[in-house]
Amino acid sequence: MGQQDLDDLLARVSMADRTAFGQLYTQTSAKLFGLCLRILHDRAQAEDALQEIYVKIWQRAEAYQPGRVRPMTWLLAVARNHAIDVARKSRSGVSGKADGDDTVLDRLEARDPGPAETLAAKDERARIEACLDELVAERAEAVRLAYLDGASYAELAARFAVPLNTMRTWLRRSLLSLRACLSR
Amino acid sequence: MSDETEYPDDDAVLAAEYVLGLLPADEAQGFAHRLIRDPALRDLCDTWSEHFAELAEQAEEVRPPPAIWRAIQARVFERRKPLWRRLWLGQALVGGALAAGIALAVLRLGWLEPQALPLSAALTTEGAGEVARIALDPDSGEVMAELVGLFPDPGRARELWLIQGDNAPVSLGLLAPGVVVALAVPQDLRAALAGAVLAISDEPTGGSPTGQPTGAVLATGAITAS
Repeated sequence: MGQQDLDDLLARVSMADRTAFGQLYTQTSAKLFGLCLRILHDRAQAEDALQEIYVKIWQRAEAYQPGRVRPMTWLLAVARNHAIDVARKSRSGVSGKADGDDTVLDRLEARDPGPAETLAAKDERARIEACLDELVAERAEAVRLAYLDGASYAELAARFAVPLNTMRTWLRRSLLSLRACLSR
Repeated sequence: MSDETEYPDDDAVLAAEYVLGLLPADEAQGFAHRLIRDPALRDLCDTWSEHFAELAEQAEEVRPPPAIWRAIQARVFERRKPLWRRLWLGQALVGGALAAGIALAVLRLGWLEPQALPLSAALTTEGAGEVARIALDPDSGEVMAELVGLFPDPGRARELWLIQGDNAPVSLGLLAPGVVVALAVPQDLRAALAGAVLAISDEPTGGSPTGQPTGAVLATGAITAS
């Protein structure tokens, strides 16, 4: 699926073209659903989220500006932002309980890649992955947690057992190093 | 640690925090206001979005169950569907040129593309009556199709075929029970749609594995001007 094709489909969806919407769904839903599952770790929640995401895409396609970011980047951002909202809401729903932090921790532990996943990732290494590898392991993990789990500074501080301010300084420095690496 | 209060005041870092959703609400709001006026800041956010999207793209692709697409369609198209259904009925009952003209005029006021498609076909069988309603646009190749009878058993599907003259059937895609699906006629087949025949066959889930009908042909109908 080329970028130009996705650009065209999004332009047609913004004009309420149902055929284009169907084609867009066919071509992108597996990727967005995979991301929802990755963020939410819960099939039913991910299915609900995917519905909401495509309703948003239908309603807001005109907000996509071709040439600014790749169309897939825009679609992934819509999906990620919605899934993160859902994840944060369901976390805040359990945060009153004593095991609130454990839930976040369990989810961290559950995400270690298996051998197949590690191999696949090595085949198709994104630049950001290579740059994350240049960071101290747990700092890279903090960036991944912020992006893929929507972890807040407070949650990250609890996870890494450091004060909130330290956590923010850490992460900001990591982001600066990442940017330096990415722009090399 | 001595660095606890040393926040790098770099817009690039602020942009990353904004994209990640890490900024406290008041800072996020302030940043959003700056974004409106500052294209350089927007570029920074765009660049971070591209990089982070690469992380998202590492997630394994998983095909969602078909019910999700039906639910999305029902929500996105829900306000228009009943009208379409009423009009199909109206066409069947009246069918006169005047009535059709009025219907088209009414429809073009809205966003109601499917009703305004110039060609249509009703696929019927002797036993089950109407099986599917199809509307087509020969210019765009757009097809709106709804299966209204002879719903498939579990593990089976209903596939729609276009048959032009003596040529082999060409698959237009799968129909869904009670839901309007959008399909498309390949570009090179659009010229001779009027008078061609549509057929529905019984196929395994996912459609014919061979590219030609493999199961029983359940219903047929000619394409005519709406």
